[in-house]
Amino acid sequence: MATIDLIAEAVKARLNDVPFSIPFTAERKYLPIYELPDMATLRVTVVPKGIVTTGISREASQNEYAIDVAVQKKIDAETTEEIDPLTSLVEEIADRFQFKRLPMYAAAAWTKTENMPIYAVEHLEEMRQFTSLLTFTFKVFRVAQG
Amino acid sequence: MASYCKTRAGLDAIALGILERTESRDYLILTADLVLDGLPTLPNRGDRVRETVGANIFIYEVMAPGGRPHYRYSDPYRKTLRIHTKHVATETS
Repeated sequence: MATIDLIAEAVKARLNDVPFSIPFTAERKYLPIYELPDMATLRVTVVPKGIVTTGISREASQNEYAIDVAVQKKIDAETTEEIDPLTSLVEEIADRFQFKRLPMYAAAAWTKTENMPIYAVEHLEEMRQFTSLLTFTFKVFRVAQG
Repeated sequence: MASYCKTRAGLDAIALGILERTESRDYLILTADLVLDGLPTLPNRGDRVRETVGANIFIYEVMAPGGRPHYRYSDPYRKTLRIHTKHVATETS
């Protein structure tokens, strides 16, 4: 399995090992396609996003692996009562990875979290759906192969 | 008496690789027919239309398509409403 898939799998496992304030089961997908009725259930999807490799010596590289975690749920009203718990959940998810290594893939060290968008305005307007995207970046040092 | 005039499937992609499919449907209804609790009314975001087909009930929710209002009048005299909805659930009766 490719390193980025191992990291994505470790992110999924970390999300599923201890419950959050709103229960969910994270899934890892290559091609996440949903239909609006699916979103009645809270969906947390882990998707590999990209890799940046930088040479740091003749034989070693620093690799930054970006993993997207999408948090999505159909809501009944655009009220603070309904949306605040979801933004709190996103923060909980972010906090779970901050300054930590992934237990299932300890070579990967967290370096950065981006939360953009915090919520997608167009999804709230057009689908009455909360969508937030976290992008985690993990650093792995690798020795040149082959 | 309502009728639906257009159904379209859409694929809404957000810039993160998550794709979402929606089924949009516009309903045409006489403005005078939209009466709730004895009072003439206008559609609100989140209102739901339940459409029974055989044993299934298809539920459509009033939503704005792409930055536009969630309903509009479809004639100059405001006699007919065009209400924009999306399919959000299916129940079995």
